[in-house]
Amino acid sequence: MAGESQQAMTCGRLKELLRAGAAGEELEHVAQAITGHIERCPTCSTAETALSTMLARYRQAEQPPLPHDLERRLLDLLCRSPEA
Amino acid sequence: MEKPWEIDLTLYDDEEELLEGLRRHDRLACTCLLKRFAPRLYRLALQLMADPDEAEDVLQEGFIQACAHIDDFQGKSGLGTWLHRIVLNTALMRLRRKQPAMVELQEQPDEAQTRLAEALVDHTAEPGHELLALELREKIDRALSALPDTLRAAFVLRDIEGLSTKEAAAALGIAEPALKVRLHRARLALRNALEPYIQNIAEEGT
Repeated sequence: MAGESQQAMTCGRLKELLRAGAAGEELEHVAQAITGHIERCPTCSTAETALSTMLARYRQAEQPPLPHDLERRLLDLLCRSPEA
Repeated sequence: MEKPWEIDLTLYDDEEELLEGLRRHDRLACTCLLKRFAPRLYRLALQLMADPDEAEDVLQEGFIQACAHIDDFQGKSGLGTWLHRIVLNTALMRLRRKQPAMVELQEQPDEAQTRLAEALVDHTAEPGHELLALELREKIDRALSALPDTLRAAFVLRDIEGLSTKEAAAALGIAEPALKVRLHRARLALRNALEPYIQNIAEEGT
């Protein structure tokens, strides 16, 4: 179920820590607390590892093509400019 | 009729020759430059600006600057790295000019932002193992574009472009702890927005 899995990946403690950062607490301390929490929290460490895996695949994915005609418009622009 | 956008890319396979061509203001060299680097740099600009028109403006400005200063390029890094830096700086300058007061407000934890990102994803979908099909890539792009500018920039520089924390903080003109907190906010928002896919990958690993 979508609702169950969403609950399983959500961490209230992490949200609290991030709120503390927004509330003006010293950011160095907040950043350290978040890093420590993620290392210890099974939910967060699992989700962060999965996010990293997904992003590694995203980075390796083939580049989508340029929007239609953009390359030619750029070329026209560069060739029109006195520098090009 | 000449169609320079359909030329043979191997004409300027060698970077030194490409540079020489650009210094001579050779039209075919400009074409090779675009064909080789524009798709990757457009992607970077789009990830940072989250707007196709702005990304195109960034790309135009970046390439014009590059061609205008090609004589200054000393070859200490590769041409691609040099262009990457120009486009990145162009995008970051534009982001900084965008109403900083509003950006700071939007950086607060924002339930509406989270709901918007979640709404981009069909939680009833059952993603298969071809996780980076076009559909998922589009969802990642859309989730990224739903982030506030400051969070998105931190995330793109650190987690997509692979800059170190120190480099990303310097590029954004902020302290390292601030960069780290922005990054965690961005990651949590993306965890929520892409939850079905994150869950699927987590299950692959168990």
